[in-house]
Amino acid sequence: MVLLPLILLGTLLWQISKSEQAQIRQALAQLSEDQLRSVQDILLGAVAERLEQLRHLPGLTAEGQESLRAFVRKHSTVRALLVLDAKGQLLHPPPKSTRSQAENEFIVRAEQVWKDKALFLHPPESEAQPGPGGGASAPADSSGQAQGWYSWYHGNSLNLLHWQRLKDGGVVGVELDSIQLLSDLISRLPSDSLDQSTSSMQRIMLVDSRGEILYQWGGYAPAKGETPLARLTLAAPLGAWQLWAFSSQASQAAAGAGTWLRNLLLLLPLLLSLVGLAFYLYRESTRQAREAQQRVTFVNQVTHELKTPLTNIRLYAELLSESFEFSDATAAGHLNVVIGESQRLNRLIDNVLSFARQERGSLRIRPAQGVIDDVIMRTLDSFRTMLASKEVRIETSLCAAARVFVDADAVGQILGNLLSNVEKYASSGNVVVVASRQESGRTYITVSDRGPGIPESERENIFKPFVRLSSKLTDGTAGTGIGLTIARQLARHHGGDIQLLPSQAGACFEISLTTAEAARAPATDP
Amino acid sequence: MKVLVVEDDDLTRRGLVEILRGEGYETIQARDGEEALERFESSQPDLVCLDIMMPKTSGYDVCRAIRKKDASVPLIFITAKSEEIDCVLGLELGADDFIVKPFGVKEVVARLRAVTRRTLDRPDGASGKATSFWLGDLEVFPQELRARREKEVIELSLREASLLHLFHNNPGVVLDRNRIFDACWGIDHLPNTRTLDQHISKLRKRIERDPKNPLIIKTVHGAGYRYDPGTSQYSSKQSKR
Repeated sequence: MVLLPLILLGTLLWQISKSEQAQIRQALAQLSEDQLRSVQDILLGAVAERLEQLRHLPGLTAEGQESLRAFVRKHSTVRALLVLDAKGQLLHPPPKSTRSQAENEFIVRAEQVWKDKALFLHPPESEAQPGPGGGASAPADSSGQAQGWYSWYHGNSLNLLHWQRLKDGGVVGVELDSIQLLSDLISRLPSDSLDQSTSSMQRIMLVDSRGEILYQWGGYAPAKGETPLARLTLAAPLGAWQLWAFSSQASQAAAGAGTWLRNLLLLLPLLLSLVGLAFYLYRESTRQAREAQQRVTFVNQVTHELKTPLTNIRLYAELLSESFEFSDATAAGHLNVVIGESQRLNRLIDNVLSFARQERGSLRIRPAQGVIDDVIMRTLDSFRTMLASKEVRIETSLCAAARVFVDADAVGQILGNLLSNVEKYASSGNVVVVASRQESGRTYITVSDRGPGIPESERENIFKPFVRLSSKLTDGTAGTGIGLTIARQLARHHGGDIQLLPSQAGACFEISLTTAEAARAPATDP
Repeated sequence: MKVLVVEDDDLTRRGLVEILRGEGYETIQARDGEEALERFESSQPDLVCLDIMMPKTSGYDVCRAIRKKDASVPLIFITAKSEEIDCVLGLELGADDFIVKPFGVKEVVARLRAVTRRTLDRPDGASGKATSFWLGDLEVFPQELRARREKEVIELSLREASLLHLFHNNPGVVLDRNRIFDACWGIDHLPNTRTLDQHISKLRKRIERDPKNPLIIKTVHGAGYRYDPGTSQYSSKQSKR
């Protein structure tokens, strides 16, 4: 009852924390993406600055080869220049015989561009489209003239070429020195020291298309194989590069742990209440078990303490009765009263004991070989004096002489309770008739009197515990109201029952018992 | 026969001892388990009556200890029957029978006689008495502690069986009190004259057709008691058998 809610609560708490951690991670990823975009802006801003330097380049194309070469020498970020006429003929670098080594290398390096120079002559419409090498055109500049970027890999390095369309339809292109460009870009980025004392527990990497790290910075060192929290592919002309952002597990965990802790604190009162309830229920159940055991021990102890003096009373009264031949009937009668009352007290104790056993489900019978008529006679013997004192005559008609399996003590207790009731409630009838018969593995014993009888409406109530036909103290009749309850329970344990039969006068109880026939007694018994 | 009575309640123990002596048993007493084991060791009783609920050492523990020394000595548990487990455990430990508190004289006597019969029936417990003998028209079965007249069965105590056996072995002889005491009470017991008279009186009530005019055990005033087998009143009954 308590464990299941605890489990459910724990599961709920875990799921909430997991969801919150996912949200935190998502938020961190979003933050990282925003940060990467900021870095991208820095990088693209640097590229834009380079483009600004090339603003005057179209005007130089008419000034001849030397002016163009001087331009290249002047600008360290420019690696090579390209000029095409309107028909696509190469104007610069100059013809092969007059080229410099660097220009020759450019021709070799830019071979891919020649294959695609139609891109320059017929630029696409407004949208940028990547070329085979990754180049992409840009929309027209502010003067309305087309321009764009072309990027390609030659060997392991990325090459960038910015082209502009000239007024005469020709094209001028500038190959940027990627190393210079990268160096320039890096100079605008934070330092790459792994200083973990910094407040940043992040790591941002600039990687190329093969995942090789070009540059990185931040105080966190990601583990091998760790997945970036966010990725951003840079816009043209740096589209071959990506920015990766990593966040430390500690910061994520701290965020998550903080959430976990917060949820735990919120649910702590409920958890404590449940634990307290579980503890209370456990204490309660063990208390009940302890009290039940104490009751058993108490009943056992009281039984023993009561039965020992009772034993002595009866024992010495009987010894006295046997030791003397009383000449005075009164003295003998007094002694019989002592014996009879000790037996009555014993029956009361046995009833209380049996009732206690029945309440805790441990009432049992122990059949052994015996003769039921003998049990009846022994029980009647113990009631003779008492019944005689109330002028109740005993009549018997006993036909249960077969040797059977019977719990003699239980049958004696049942009969004793019935005879005790006759003595208490029906002595005015002046007679009690006890009859027995056996048939088909069952024994029937009837006890009938000529007393006031029992009303029809009370026929079943009388077998309920603590029910007496009259509970008035002024009745003067002693009794606990459990005699018939015990009698019925014992009879039922013996495979039978006890019922109140209809009778025209007085009361007639019938006891039925299951009594299997025992083996015949040995022939040597006289 | 010697009976060891182990009971922590003084009154109950003395009452049991009185019953046992009245039946003709020699008694040894013990108040607790330790004393019981000492007395058992020193006296070698023929039967043990053992209370279950005793302080320090329970009857169960005493029973286990006795059974280790002697697996066959008859043992009767005295119990208040407060729990079913008392009887079950007792039987498992080897008890022969139970006396349930509060018990009366008759119940104790019945239990003792039943256990004694079984003891006398054993080969090593033979009392040396014949399987049966006649006293007038009464057939006595000393090992069963019973007598029978026609269809009537009469239960006998050990002492009563001893008395009848003494009379049977001395037909026509006046047995004075001293001789009867020596034979049936033992040298450790010092009964008085009235004790013998009471026993004879009780015995007559059981075996005589008319206790006030006894035919089997006759009084010889001033001398003792005598059994006359040749009395005419029942010799004719004997001849009819």
